[in-house]
Amino acid sequence: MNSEKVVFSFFIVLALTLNFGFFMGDIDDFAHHNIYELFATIVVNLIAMGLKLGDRTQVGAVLLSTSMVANLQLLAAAIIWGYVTQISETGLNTDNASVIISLSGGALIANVISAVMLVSETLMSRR
Amino acid sequence: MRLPIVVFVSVYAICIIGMVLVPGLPDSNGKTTYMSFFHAYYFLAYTATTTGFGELPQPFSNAQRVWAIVCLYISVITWLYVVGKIISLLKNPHLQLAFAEESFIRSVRRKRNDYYLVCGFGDTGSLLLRGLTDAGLSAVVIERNDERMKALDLRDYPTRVLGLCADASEPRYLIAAGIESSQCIGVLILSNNEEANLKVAVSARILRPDLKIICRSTSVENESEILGIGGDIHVVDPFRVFASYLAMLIYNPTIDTLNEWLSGTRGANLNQNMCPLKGGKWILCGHGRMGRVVYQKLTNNGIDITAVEPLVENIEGISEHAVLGRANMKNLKKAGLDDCVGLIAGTDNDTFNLSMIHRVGLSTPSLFTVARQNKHSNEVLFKRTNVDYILQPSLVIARMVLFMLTAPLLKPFYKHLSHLYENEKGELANLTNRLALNVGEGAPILKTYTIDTNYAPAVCTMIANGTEIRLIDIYRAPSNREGTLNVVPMVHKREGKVTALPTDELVLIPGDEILFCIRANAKVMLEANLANEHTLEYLLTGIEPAKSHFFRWLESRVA
Repeated sequence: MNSEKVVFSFFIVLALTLNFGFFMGDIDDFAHHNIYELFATIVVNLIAMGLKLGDRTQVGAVLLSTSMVANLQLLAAAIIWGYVTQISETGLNTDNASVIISLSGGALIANVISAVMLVSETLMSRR
Repeated sequence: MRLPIVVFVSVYAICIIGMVLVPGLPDSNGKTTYMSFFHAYYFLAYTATTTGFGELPQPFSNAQRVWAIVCLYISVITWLYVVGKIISLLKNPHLQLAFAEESFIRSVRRKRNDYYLVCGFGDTGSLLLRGLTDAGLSAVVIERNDERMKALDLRDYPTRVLGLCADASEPRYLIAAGIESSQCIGVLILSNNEEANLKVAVSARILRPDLKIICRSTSVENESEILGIGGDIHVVDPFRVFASYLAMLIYNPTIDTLNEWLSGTRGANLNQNMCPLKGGKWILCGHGRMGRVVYQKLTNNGIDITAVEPLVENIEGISEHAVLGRANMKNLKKAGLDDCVGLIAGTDNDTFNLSMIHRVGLSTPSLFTVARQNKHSNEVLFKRTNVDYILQPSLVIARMVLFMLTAPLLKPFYKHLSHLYENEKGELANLTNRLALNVGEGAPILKTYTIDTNYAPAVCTMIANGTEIRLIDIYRAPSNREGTLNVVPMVHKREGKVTALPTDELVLIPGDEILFCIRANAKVMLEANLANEHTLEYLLTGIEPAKSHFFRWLESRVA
């Protein structure tokens, strides 16, 4: 067993599972989505991205880029949430809730790709 | 084309002018109106093309109606005449050829990858193209015969093969096929026409002094002339190659089995043990151009052979070893059919060869029979007859050229094999066993890898960092570094020095070329070993390296 593999896979899979948990539920009803879960997703995704830095192989490069995409989408969702709840007068309504949730859905796809690559690379080396 | 245009313009002009000048119905003030040019043209446009669109700018007067009738007849007839002319022009074969050539030139110019220029798309050409495209190489074809060109269009090659129906011995077509472009990396001249082949070879050499040329030739005089052109040029003589294959088959079947297997022949495997057939008499049917070469080669190898040939001028000089006449049972008996071990049906006529094999098979089924198959289309018949071995000159040539292009290091390997055969038969058996065990039954992949940044970036980086990499390291199995992948390194080349079967302990340096024999599913893994630093480092040390900055930092803290 390789401790690096354990830590690395843990964060990548956790990023995926948290992201999925936040995404689950009606797309325009924020009661189904927990803002703390979004926060946790962002933190774990950022850590996963940090762990991926510095791998010079092609697989490493693609893994890094999927993390960057996921983070971009999640941060955009967070910024929209902050704007509608703190700055704008409208507050959280169905319109901007659906934007936040769909952005996190996009990040979910990027996380799925990342996890699939992790699994397939592990299977390829067969050790 | 001038007359139709003049007629067309004049008829339109007359009709329009007439329509404008003919008086129409009076307007509300009682003044006669006239049609404008625009309306006249509009009316004529839908009348002449027989569209018959019903809208009229204004109601017609009777005078206008009369003129409309005249217009209708003459303009419709003119229109049909002009359209007929245009269609017949487009159907002109010369014009179509010009169009095809133009689009061919444009497509060739747009090609971005390296390609071979193949002149002649006969049996050999089509077999070779199949092999080339399967190996991922690209090709452009020039073929004189229209029917063969149509056949090319219907093939489903893995990469697109451009083709032009033209005579390659005309230099302008060679230029059209992009011979001057640096992406053209070789010319393969494979037609049956000796003169044309020589001419193409000469033109190719003049146009590109540095180009690789492989030319088919069956006559010795032509061959020396082709070789005299100089530069990177090779001649393949189907007769001589055929003869040496035959000799190899009779004299040295193990190497022949290996060769069949390496070429990826369907059904070939390394376990079929054929025993050498060199003891005993052979009969060769047909002592023509090819038969002569075969006879010479086999006699030189010490095989007792009797020729059966119907033409008296063909057996001059060997009359004591020949029977004059057609190869019927009577003449075969005369040549010693009853006490010989094998028969070669080697005429240039497939029907003849087939019927001979068939008859001999009925009377003496124990005889070892070899048949020459001239036409690829007769494959079904040859497969059905009870012949022990089929030799197809076009296939033999195609294979040989393919090996020259995709695995040039294979030639020293064969030399090594025949050396082993002469001196250490046990070693040859060991090698066959190793190949059978490591690479296995199915068709293997032969590929040459150069230790450079293109093929093996990870290996190059490691060597530059001062790590010593041995040959065994690059083909260890990533699942278990004690074992190896299903590959066998066959030939190693360094600065012109070629070694067959290099040892595993060999230390690699950049620029080395290694020919691997690879089981089909191991190719991806081998290439990953060469390209992925992490995998290679694991293979070298047995320790999975830390992949990213964070884990490397952590490792240095812990250590």
